[in-house]
Amino acid sequence: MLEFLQALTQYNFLGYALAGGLLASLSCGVVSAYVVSRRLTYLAGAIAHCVLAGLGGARYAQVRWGILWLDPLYGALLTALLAALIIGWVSLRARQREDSIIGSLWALGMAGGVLFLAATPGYETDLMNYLFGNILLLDPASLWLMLGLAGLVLILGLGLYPELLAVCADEEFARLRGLNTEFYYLLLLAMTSLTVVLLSSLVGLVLVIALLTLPAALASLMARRLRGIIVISIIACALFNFSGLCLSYLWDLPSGAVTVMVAGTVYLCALLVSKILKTRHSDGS
Amino acid sequence: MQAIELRNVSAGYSENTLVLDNISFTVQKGEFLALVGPNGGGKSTLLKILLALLKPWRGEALVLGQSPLKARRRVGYLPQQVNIDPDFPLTIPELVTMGCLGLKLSAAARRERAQAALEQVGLGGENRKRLGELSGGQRQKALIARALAAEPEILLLDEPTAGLDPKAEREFFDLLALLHGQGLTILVVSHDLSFVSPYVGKVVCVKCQVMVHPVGELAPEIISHLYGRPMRPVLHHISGQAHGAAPVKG
Repeated sequence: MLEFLQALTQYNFLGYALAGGLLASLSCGVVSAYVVSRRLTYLAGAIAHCVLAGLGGARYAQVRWGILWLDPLYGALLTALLAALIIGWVSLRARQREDSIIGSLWALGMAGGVLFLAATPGYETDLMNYLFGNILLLDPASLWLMLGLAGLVLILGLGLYPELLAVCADEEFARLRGLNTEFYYLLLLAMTSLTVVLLSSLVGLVLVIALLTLPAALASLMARRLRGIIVISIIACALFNFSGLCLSYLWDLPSGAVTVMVAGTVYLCALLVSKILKTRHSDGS
Repeated sequence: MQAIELRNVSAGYSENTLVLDNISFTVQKGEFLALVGPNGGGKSTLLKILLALLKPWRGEALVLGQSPLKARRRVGYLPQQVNIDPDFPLTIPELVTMGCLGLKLSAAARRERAQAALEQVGLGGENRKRLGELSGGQRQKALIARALAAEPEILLLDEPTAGLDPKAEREFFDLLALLHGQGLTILVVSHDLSFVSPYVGKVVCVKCQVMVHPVGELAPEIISHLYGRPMRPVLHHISGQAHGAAPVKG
């Protein structure tokens, strides 16, 4: 631990990585609470996998057409928002075919991304970075963008808490009270898509779903209200990112995978403890 | 002043399924009515029109002198089935605070209203429980409190006591009678005519068309005509009058 803290003062890239992890934790904590409570994990997974098409397309445009300003992160943002709107629309208007249509979009996004990257020099390195993340590649420009995205998600998620809570808990009642429930549902998916882009830099697209569910799932074992779940999720996500980065540095392992392993292990242990406590409580009463 | 007015309303779900045919009736402010009738008779369709969830094909529906869409924030509603996940992280005070949605109130004012509504229904102490942790009767009371938090002028209830045991059902209707005594206009959809009749002033019988009766006029012939088969009157356990109906066996 001390070694890691010393390295933090010596190497800028480690500081950027830690700052990125903490920023992403803010929006991850807020969004994962809504995603888990409203059971939107499948939709979030589909958005995450569609993002590869945007990353791959932007990288292709940079290398092949020389459009250097088109950072893959911008491509990811555009595709994530587009995917959120399409998936949201399908979920609202084509419920009977929802799973097959969303499954198709999920696969098409991945396939499109792989094809773009295959046609781009440096294919293997790029693909691995996008799929499994490389937090050590973060630079100040990426951090500013992450700060903006995290701030936006935080403001929306906390500022519109009563409306989002109502839409997640009882959509029909919210509609009867005059709320535009479709707007808030699509907004929630758009916030999820922004968080997916933030997290993709940290743990990659394949493992994004873990950080979108595990912090809130862990928090659900401790808090009874959504507000409490949000707070605990933010803290848990920040601790997972910090410990993942620390352990990956000390053991020289991929940071994204280590972060997810830490999160998964903590969640499973907490679940076990919670079950044991419940059993003891019910035996005692 | 009229709380609800329907003039020559016809409605349905597709061209061939006319559910309500040219119905007209009014509800005065402060009345307590029961909406009864056979399954598929149009009770829920009527509620949907009053809640602006369905537009009539013909005719006009007015709620508190306005279109149902404009008046919907002045109406409290308790649905037959609430689609809230029992595991959703929502405590009872938060659930009731949801009733203030759409009102320009501070967070503190919303919480105060929710607490007042919870105390009104006798659930003032349930601060940590979730909806799934309450009994059936308590759950319905919590949902009534959510409707009351908006301080509505009309309360619409769709089969609110379905699935409750007789004791919980009686407690629930006693609560409605109390709210009615405080001036609230209440319209309750019920399958259990015998149970609701001692509480309500009028019964609106819906079977494609409507008939409005003061509860004292509910003769067996009227009830049999409404349900489309022979029915026998049931002596009610509270008033001792023949208000209810049960199918004739054999």
